[in-house]
Amino acid sequence: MKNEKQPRFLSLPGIGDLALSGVRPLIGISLGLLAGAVLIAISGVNPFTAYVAMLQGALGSPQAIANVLVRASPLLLGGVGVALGIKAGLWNVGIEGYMYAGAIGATWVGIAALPVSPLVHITLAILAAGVVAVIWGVAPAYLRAYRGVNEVISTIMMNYVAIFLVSYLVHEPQPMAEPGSFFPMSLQLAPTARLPILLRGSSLHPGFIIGLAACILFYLILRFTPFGFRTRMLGVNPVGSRYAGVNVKRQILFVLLIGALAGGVAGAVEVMGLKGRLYMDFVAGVGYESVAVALLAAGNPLGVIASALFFAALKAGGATMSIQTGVGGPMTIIIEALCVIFVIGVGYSERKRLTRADKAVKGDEEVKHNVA
Amino acid sequence: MKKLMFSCGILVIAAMILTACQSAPAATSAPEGEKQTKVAMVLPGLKTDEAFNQYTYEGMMRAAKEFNLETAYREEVKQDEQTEIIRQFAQQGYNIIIGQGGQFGEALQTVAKEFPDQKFIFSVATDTGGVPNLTAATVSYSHAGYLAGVMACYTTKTNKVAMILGEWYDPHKQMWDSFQKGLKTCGKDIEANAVTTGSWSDVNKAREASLALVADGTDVLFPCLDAAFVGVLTAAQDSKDVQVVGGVIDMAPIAPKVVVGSVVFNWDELGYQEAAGMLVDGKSHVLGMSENGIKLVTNDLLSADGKASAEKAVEDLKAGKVDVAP
Repeated sequence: MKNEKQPRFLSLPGIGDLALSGVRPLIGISLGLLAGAVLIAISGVNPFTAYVAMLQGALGSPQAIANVLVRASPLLLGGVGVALGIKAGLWNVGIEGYMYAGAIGATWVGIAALPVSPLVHITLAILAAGVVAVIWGVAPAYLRAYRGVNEVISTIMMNYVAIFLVSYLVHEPQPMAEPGSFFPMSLQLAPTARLPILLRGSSLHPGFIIGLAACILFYLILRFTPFGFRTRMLGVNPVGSRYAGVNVKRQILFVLLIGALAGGVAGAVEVMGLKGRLYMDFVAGVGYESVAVALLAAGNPLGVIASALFFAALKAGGATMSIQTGVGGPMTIIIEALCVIFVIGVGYSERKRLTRADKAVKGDEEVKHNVA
Repeated sequence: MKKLMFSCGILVIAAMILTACQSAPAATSAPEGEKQTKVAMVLPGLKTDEAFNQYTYEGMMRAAKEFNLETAYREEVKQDEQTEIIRQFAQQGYNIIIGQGGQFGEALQTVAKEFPDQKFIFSVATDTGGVPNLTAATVSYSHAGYLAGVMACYTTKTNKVAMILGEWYDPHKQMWDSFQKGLKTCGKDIEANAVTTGSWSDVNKAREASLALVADGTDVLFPCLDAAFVGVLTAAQDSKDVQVVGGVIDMAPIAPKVVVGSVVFNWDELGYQEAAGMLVDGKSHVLGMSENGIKLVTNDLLSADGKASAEKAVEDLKAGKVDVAP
């Protein structure tokens, strides 16, 4: 055989097969940054100055690195939740909603002055976040698993319900709301429910450790457990897995609920680590960015670590970039999007090329066969 | 092909890293050596929104020109980056850091405590949280509400008027209270309603709410909205004998046939005074009529009585004769 190295494919519902290789994301990201540079130049700023500022903002000081880790925390958790779905062939894009739902749970327990140690209070608040988020995820997960309702539509719709539910809860006269505040927000979390600050003069909290642990755990589950095997089998061939005796419906339900759990913890971490309160509209798109994170990682939980850190560095560095060079605030989001588009595009062209190569090899063999 | 792309990628990254190493020191050394006052503003929206964000920003730039300030800003600051961005400005030694909007309170308090030698301003708020280097400043919503009430009082014929807003924040409750007081100045028995649409920018919701009010007999609408105010204006234009008392901006140029007058929020003045260092004493400031925070604009549609009363109300507010919140 000439091409011994078999190309690996990842089947994405709605997008098709993507060829996987180590350099694909790197090439895509480079092209995305290049395209971003063109846009920055058009906006009248020297792209090199801008990217230097971005690098400084992401890696230039311990505070900068702390900022990146703070921004990475919800992306790690949300990203790995979406990634699990991608491996099972499901688009679990409800992270935004699960984050709000989880934050409600965490706040509910967090604002209570419980006579317990911080460790217990924090654990209870995170547990509450997980429970509320999973309950939030039951409706779309059940509908997808047992009624065949498209999970993209139902999870996105649930996101809006969650956004407005939080809005409602942090407005007076709801018991959770801070009375007389200028902006709708909840009461402050009890000190025992706040995650500790790890680096003085920064907002660094242990959320990223929880996120990293989740990514590694999900990787081990996917790689080494029967549950993980079933999940991957479901993603590669749903009909085949049913034929092989997998309870496909139950598997879909669990995968979506675990995604909801991860999203709920992401919301809890934001409230308990960063904000100290539940604010109206506090997620601001992180849930959707998680989808991009998982996509960039091609659904691989370990890849999520790299891509979440990359996105966080773009965001933290992008803030510094716009402060120092005057590049518009939304430019960071544009660059993020460009990177994702180019990574997908490179994967697509690579796949086409590999398919062509494959056909050519087969053609060769046929010719040989005929000659023989 | 694959190798070519791979090497391209490596080249690009290498180029970026190299340039980063080269010019990094230059970037940091440039601004040093000057002793200008440095002012930074953090905005929740875009500085081109033709509303609050843009006007406060322009106010800062006006002050910058006048007092030779060095300024910086960051627009579209999301909830998850507030503390980090305010802290970045503080670390870079900005003397005055302005958080523009009620959502920045917590972040400003946190960072102000970390940097006690720098001044912080919590804008569009009245709560300093007891932090000595944090000043609160806003325009007077209650003065605006009172003037709007006076104009609405002299305009309504059905004796039914309504205020339309996005959501109830604290200043809007003050505005509502004083709006009702303003309605009592002309001796009519007026029924006043307040409607929230849930969105400051949704034009359709504002229009639907307005049309429902009009169908119920309301003939004067007082919008206190962002972009959604357009919905109120079109609803008034499409109905018979319905007039509008403009809020926040001067609405007469947009809909001259229905707007009797407007209470204008001088966001520009707020941004100007904040950047100019006039509001850094650690107290809470409300810019009312006397401090040029609110401006009255009347249109020809307003009756002579109405105009006279509105102008008298301005004088009364300046003199502190009116019993409304500051």
